[in-house]
Amino acid sequence: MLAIYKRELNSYYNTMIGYVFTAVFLVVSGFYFTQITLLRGSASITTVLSSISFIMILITPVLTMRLLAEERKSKTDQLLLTSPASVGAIVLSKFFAALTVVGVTLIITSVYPIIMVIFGNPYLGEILLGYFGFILLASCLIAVGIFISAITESQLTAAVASLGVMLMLWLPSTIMPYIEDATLRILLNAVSLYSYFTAYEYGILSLTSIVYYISFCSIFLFLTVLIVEKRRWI
Amino acid sequence: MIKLNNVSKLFGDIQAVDNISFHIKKGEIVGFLGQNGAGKSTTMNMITGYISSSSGVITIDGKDILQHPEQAKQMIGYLPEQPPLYMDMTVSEYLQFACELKRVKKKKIKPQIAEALETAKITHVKHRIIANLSKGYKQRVGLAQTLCGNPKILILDEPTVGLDPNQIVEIRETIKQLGKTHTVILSSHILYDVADVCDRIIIIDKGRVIVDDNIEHLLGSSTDMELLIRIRGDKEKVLAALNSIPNCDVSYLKACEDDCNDYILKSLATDNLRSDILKVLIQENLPLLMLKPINDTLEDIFLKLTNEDKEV
Repeated sequence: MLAIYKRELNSYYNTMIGYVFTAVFLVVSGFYFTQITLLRGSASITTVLSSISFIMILITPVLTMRLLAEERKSKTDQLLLTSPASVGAIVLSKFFAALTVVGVTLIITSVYPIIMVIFGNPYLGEILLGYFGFILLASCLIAVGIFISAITESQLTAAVASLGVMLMLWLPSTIMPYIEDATLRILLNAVSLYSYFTAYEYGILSLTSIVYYISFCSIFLFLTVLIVEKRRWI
Repeated sequence: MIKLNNVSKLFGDIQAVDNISFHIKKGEIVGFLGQNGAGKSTTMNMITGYISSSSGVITIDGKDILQHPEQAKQMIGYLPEQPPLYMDMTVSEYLQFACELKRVKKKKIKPQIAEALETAKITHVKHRIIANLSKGYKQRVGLAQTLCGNPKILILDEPTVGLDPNQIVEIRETIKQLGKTHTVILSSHILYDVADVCDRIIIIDKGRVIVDDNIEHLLGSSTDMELLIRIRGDKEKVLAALNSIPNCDVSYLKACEDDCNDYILKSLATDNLRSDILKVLIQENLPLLMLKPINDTLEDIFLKLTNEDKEV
């Protein structure tokens, strides 16, 4: 399992993908940090994180598109699936490799809170909570991306489909306030990944959102394992 | 070592493999022959656990590949038709990855990589990126990968496809060497690959095993002897002379060179045929320019067997 994780992570940084992800993320987050914190003088890093959470929809597919699609296309899945590693271990290794790239990028953004600590007096608990929530959100997006990458052989299809699906997971949170029908609200709420991030934005440690994110992520990883397994049984 | 019991595979409505059974003993080198689409790769993919069988049981050294996949897979080194290479890695990084994937103990990884590089004769390219290697070298990297983890069984799917003649000879030699210490299944549609290397041949056609025999048996299965001979002299005279030999069929094949003709002689009593021919020709003062036995090659046998089925 460690072998696949290491290979995948190296591959992110042997190719441009890891750097492109980090660069785009830093440019956008730098922009929001300057605008919200430095110019407007807000001490809330969670507002910044919440603003850049949208950009994850655009750049997560870059991280996840090739994870399983490329293995199938170049037939390297034959090496993985005929090795003693289980499908679950393969999928998890790839998931954690992608999550590590997000993690590394977030560590670089810790410059922002450090600047805030030097020049102000922010509440550290809120900052850590914001980052925690962001990682949960990213995990879910990566899980969705891996799932879509398992369905197709083409990286491009995987990227575009992931983008579409991730947008669908974001949209409900934007129209939710205008919907009055209770049943529809419940339904939309179930697939509204971004609604649950609001708690972190306000600095609330919400058990509901933790449970939601972890379940959401696990379900998609499980479905990915099923897809890969099913293909071998057909 | 490898046992297949009534194994079938269905892809939707297509029967790719139809109820095949065989048993490969430890140390055997088995050639797996068949035309394209005969079901060779599907069978190999099932043996290695890449895909499951629709029905039937496959055991590797007593371990069911579906019930105990981890133990069974640990015993197999598999080189699929298209080597599973990560193009962005160097050769040694790739082999390191393969060793870790196959759970080789940390201390043993280095010596094992060195040995695999040596066997596949790619030590001098170990620091190069796989994407930049030629097809022959890529194939060797794939072969080196199968040796990682020191498996008892090697399954090689068309290892010589797309290589130039020199590389084919080299790979064949390497496989021969490996066959001394491993149980090997080698698939191919090139018969010479198999004839040269393997002890036993399994021919499969339309998903069914049609022959499972050793090579000597297969080649020796044709009983009558055929000779191609070239004689200078008048055709009628030669035919008359040859027809005087008992128990043999003579047929005229074609004219060639000046005043020479080729004939085919077929005889059931093979013992004295050649000396009889010489005696007759000397008597008639006809110079013999060529005498060549025509044995069924593996190619002929293969074509005969796979076409017989079609005619039915």
